[in-house]
Parts: sequence; structure tokens; C-alpha cells
Amino acid sequence: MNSKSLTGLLPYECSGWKAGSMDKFYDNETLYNYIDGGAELYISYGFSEVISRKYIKAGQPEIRVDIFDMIKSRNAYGVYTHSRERIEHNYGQGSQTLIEAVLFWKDRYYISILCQTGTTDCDEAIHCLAKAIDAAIPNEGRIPGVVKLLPEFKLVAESVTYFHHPVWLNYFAWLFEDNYLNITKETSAVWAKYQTTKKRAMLLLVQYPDEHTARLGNDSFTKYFFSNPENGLITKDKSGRWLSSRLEGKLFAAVFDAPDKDFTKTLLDKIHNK
Amino acid sequence: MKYSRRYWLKSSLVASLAGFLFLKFPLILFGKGTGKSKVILIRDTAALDQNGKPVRKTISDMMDKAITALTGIDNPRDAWKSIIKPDDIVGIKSNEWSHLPTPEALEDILKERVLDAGVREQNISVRDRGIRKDPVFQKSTALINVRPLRTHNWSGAGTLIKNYIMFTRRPWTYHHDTCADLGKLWKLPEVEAKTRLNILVMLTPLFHGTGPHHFNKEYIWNYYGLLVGFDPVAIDSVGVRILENKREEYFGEKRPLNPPAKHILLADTRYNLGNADPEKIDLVKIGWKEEILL
Repeated sequence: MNSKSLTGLLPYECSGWKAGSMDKFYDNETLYNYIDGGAELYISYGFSEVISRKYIKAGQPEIRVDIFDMIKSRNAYGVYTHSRERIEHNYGQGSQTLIEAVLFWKDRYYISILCQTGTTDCDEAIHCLAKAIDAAIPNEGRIPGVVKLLPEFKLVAESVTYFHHPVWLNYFAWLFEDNYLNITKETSAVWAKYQTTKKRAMLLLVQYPDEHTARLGNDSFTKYFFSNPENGLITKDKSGRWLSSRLEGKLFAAVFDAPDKDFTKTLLDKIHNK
Repeated sequence: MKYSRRYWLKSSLVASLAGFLFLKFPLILFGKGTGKSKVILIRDTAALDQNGKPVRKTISDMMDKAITALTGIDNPRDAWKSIIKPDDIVGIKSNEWSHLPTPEALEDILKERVLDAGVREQNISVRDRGIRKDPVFQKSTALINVRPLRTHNWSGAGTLIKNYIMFTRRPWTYHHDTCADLGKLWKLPEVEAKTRLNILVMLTPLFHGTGPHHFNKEYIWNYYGLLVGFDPVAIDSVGVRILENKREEYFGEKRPLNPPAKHILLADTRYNLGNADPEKIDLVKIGWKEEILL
């Protein structure tokens, strides 16, 4: 995808708002100049280029639209899940509607549409733009296979967070001092929360490119998290919550922060029962 | 005792200026040797008007109360004079992030207080970007660090510790491991041992972020506060506790910062910059106590 193609995904006009000043483009080297402090997140998922366009209308606030070309659909899906708070499918393959903002992903793109300050007209315009951009992206992207391995039992759907950069091992809590699981861009990993009225736990799945790499990751994890692995890969942390892990072929799974042994076992069994 | 007189003596700059410092500053600046870092949390619901804009008069009063509580000197002007001297060259390191900048009113108040302490106007600069080329910052003998608290999608939180990122020519070299080593910034020659006061603006903190610009009005709230102290680590530690508690209240469950703001803890344990441990923080609460989240 080149800059010209990104431009083609944007309408010239929507609800009376017209494209304003020249479009701006940023890549890996220049994204810091645009979203100072926020660039690393996009780079961690894999990112090629973003187009940023301002839409203007007399007497109305400015609207800013960014379309990130994330190279692969798994990257666009990942960065979308990273800050998803609820399940919503108004646009693309998943969206978030916030105050004065719409965010969504489709195919290899992650789209952000923001109104500078809220007005009813501006609110209509951001939805008009979202609809137009959605329609301009012809294909849908594939959701990473590892996500489909998550048990549906008690899954908190909006918590599902896909990643392939080691930084996000600490997505839910500061658990990892280092990249013990050898997460690289060749791995596919997902965090998910499971909850009943009284119980809650986090499940981590990591799919490796081959069994050898999976064993190395598992061994490193086991060494760090289990003081006596020969007693079984289940242990209690300092706060009395349970941790357990399992390796099967290329798939590593670990349950963190579980209230009891049974809950960890149930979750792990349900992965492998699929 | 990490922010003690002994700590300051150990730093290279202070070693060369030890006599100068002991003549000029009271021990109060060094934590009174208690081993605890004093942090002032001051809140006033009149700090924001009906439109959420900062109210200069109220914030001015809050700063006066904070500086007197912090130094133990009753008169605000004298309190300022205990930390800033007339021959100081003062850089007020602000933050201009467009969605949540340091309030202009607070920048003006700080500049006024520094002028009142006897510093000449040409020896004061209030700035964020471009400080490396700013002649006042280049020659500065004293720094005042002021910024709003917010979540951050790579470092966990935009903190006082992080606010000095503009002092380096290569900010990206601090991005490794979610900015774990930001504490190292405070060892740069342009920075080390110069900071006289830290103010974490808690008027409308950002407790969560989403999208590329990491900002949405849904995730700010009126807290009406300022955190003021000498120890940036202690202040950031208190600030992040407030953010975490707000997140728990908003989301209805524990929702730690994502990623964790590990640079705060490591500024303590790895760089000895201050106290992150709540047990080593003497938190003084002044003003409005409701919804304090601590």
C-alpha cells in the first residue's frame, strides 16, 4: 500500500465537512513527530504508514482522521484490541465509539476519527466519515488463529488482546521482568480475561512457529515462575492466587491470578478440549 | 535515605558545590533527614470554573499553601526564597501536550513566585520543547518541574520523572523496555541536582487512553488537585496510586496501568532518585477531602 492508495480510502467531503490542508504522511521514522509518546505502540505491532487528514467546515470544529496501514491484518486487529473497552461492530470488523471519536479496524487498517470538540453536527460527520472509509476498504482481514483457541467458557470478550511484541506480556499486570517466553514477531499471543460472579483469572496463549521454539519458551517460563517444577506446573503467588501453565506442541498456555486450582485446570482443559 | 542530605552530597555536582549549597539552602530541602519524602496534596473545588478552566486566583492560593506546608516556612515569599535565590537562573520545565498541557495560569504563577524571590526576568524561562536550545535552560542553576499527570501508552504514565525527556538529544534511546530507565535522565549534567521543586498537576488527570492520540474526554475527571514536593519519585508514586484507584472506580475492577509505569519504581531502586515506597512518603493532605482516592 502506498500513500496514494491511502488517500483513496478517504472521501473528499462528508456531512458538509471538506478536506482541509494538505494530507500528511508519517512512517516509522517520523511518527514520533506526529503522535509524540504514542508512536511506540504502533511500531510494536508493525506499522508502515499513516495518513492524517483534517476536515473543516465553517463555524464547526475540525475533524482529524488517521488511517494507519499496519501492513498485516493481525497487526491492525492487535492494535485495535489493545484499547478496546467493549464489543461493538458499527464499522469495519470492530469499532469503538467514544465521546467525539470513532475508532475501528478493517483488513490491514486501523482508523481513528476525532472531532476537536463535540457538536451534534460534528458527531454526525464523524459517523459519515467512518461509514465512507469502511465502504472504501473492500476486504476483511483474518483474525489470528490463536484467538480462536480461547475457550468461550466465561470469556470476557472485550478483554481479548492480541500481540506479538514482548512488551505486552505485561498488558494486565507487571508479571514479567524479561521476555521469558521469547515472544517475537514470529509468535502469536493473546491475553484474555475469564470471569464468573465470584472468580476471575487471566489466560495467556502463545502460539510458536515450531515445537522447538515453543519448548525453549516454556522452559524459560517454567524456570522463572515455578521454583519446583517437578511438583507440577501449578503454584500460588504471594497474594494467594494460582498460576499454572501447560505446553502442547506449538501452543503454550498459562493461567494467572486464578482463585483456585480447579479454575486453572478448567480453563487449561477447555483449550485442549476444543 | 535516598533523597537525603547524604544523597545530595554524593552527587557529583553537589560535591563540587557543596559549600555553596550548605550556605544557601536549609536542610528542609533535603527531607529533614527523616528518610521520608514529604509530598503535599492540595485540593480545592474552586480551582476549576464551570467550564473546567483553571482559576488563577485559586491555584495561586493553593501554591502558596503548598509551598508553606512543604518548607515549614509560614510566609509564601520566604518559603520560595528558601529554595530559589536571586542569582539563580531558573528553567521552569513545563509540558505542552496539546490535549492536557500545563495550565498557563500555573506557569504564570510559578514565574511570578520566582520573580518575587528576586530572580531577574531574563534569567527565567518557561518551556517544554526546545529547552536544549534555550539560553536560560542552557545556563540554568535551578529547575522547577511542572506537568499534568496522565496515562501513557508506552511508559504507563506521563510523570514528573518523564517530563525531563526533552533534556536529551535522543529521547528514543529511553524508550526501551517501556521507558524503564527514565530515571537516568535525572543524572544528565543539564539536570542533576538542579531541581528545586516538582509540581504534578492533578486538576483534570487522564486515567485511561485510547486511539493514536491517547486522549478522550471520557477518561479525564475533575480532581482539583496539585501534588507538590521535592522528591519527583514520591510525587509520581502518589499520583499513580490516585490514577489506579480512579481506574478501579471507573472500570469496577482492578485495572493496573497498561503497561505498568515501572520507571517510577526503577527511579527509586535503580537510580536512587527518590522514594517510590508509600511507607517512605509523608503525604500531607490539604483542602477538599472528598473523592480523594487515597
